[in-house]
Amino acid sequence: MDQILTGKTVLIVEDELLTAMELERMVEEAGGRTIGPTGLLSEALRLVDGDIDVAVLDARLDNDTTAPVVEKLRARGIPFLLATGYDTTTLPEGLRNAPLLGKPYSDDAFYAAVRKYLI
Amino acid sequence: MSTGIPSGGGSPLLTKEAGALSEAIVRTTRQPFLVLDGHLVVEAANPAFLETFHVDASQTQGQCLYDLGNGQWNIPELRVLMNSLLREQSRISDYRVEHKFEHIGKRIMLLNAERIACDGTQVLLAISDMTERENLLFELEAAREFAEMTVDSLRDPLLVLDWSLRVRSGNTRFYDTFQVSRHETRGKLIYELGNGQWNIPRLRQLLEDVLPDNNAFDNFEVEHDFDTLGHRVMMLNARRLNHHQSILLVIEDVTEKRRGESQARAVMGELQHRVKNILANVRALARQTRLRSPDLATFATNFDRRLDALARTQDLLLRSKGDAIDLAELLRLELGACSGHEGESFFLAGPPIEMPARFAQAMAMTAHELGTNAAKYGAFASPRGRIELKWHVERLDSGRQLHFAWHEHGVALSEAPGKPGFGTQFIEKMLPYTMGGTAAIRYGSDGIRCSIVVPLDDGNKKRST
Repeated sequence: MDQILTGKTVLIVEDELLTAMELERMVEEAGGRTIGPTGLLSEALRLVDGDIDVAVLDARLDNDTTAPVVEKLRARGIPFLLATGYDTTTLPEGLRNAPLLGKPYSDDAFYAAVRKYLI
Repeated sequence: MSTGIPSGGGSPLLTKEAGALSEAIVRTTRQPFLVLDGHLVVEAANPAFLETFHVDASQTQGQCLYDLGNGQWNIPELRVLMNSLLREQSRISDYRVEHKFEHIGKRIMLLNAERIACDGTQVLLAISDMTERENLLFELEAAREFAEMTVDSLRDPLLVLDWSLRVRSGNTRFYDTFQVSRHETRGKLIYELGNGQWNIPRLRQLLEDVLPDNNAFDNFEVEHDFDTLGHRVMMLNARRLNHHQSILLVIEDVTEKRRGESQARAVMGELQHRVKNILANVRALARQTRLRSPDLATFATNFDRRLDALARTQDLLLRSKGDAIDLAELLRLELGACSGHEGESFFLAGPPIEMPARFAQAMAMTAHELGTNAAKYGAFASPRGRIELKWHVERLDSGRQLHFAWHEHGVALSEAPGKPGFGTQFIEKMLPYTMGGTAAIRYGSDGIRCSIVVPLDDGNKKRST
């Protein structure tokens, strides 16, 4: 694997543990460092203020959407990627027009989206 | 030929010319006309009479009125009338008689008669055939009734406007749906209805520009926020009636229909999202299991049973009322799948706990990993082994917490546990990650002990650190 995330700190927001563990693995295999993962909105809102370079988020955490986190990322100018089961027509309000990686994604699809949107 | 119209008498007005004039009038008028003597014998019948009642002059003249056309004029009502005319009254106006004639069928007639007493008694009888007119009136009334009933029985609101777009009438459905009264709308411009609420630009365009050119429009969707009714989506159909000089405007309220459609789309979107999430989870499960499997056979076994556990939770979710699942039921299912027997190798003790979907799923995966472990190395693999599962709810200021304990007994741990595997990691992470709280595994002297604390109310969901 190309070390495309070397030196980057990646915030992971994903409420499914298995999927979050996969994201951790993929980030680490590409040389990145992870913050999180978390599936809780309050935690994500705290971590987004920290020392991060890029972020990968799900669109929905149980009953919340990650729109407030995206708002903060946009305000800070931090590149991010929505990795979600929604498509552009069904995305919750406030998340439309965000860079999208559709679930379920393979390692290759994830790295392609990273190259396109995060580096 | 004499019509028998009185022409003599001492009056200077009744000249020969006057007699000829009278005769000409009687001959040329389109109204059937009879001149009778005092015994009601026909002295003369005009051409209109002969034509209308399909008789010829020879059959008529000299006959008694009641004998005409095989006694067809022997009408009881007419007899009463003529008797009264001969004895009491000198004149009868617009007396309506309905009679069925042998050859010409049912006729409705208005009779006007006058008795003239000169040269003996004479009676003038004018017969107006009203049949066609009454039939037309009846048809008109029937058409009006049909139109009114059709309009009123329509399930969609309908307005009848004149060409200047003033309301002539509406159906009951219109008044009910748009909460206006018949009285307050009649004669009003459509744009003035309900305090100008119908002054909708799109509707103006349709009625003023589209309709006059096309005489009709169909299925125009108009959205509008009404003061009283709120947001409404309406489907408009209109017809311009050229003879009636009016406009029919049918207003179908499709607000609920559109709302339903949009809800259905949202449900489909959510369903698709869930399916994609499940697929992502399955892919992650495969990857994570593969990373910790020394060979393909181990991977296949472990992946299969974990997938089974995921599938069982889906079954539970489908079977459960609403989305809540009972903890004891879930544990029986998972431990049963790991060849445990309640009352023999495992014992449950605790109050009913209703778990929402996400909690249930995390709990099922946790119980499955613990159960699998027990079946391989623990209580379910030892002859004297058993598991006690106990739980209770603690009430804190921040909300309720579930305390859950898994205690294995009668297991001789042959060797000290090495590096924690995927199962152990999973047990300690799954519930805390999904629900908050803590989960910890200890190796006791006679088996595994696992302590789990999970917040049951949203308020105290916090990640353990």
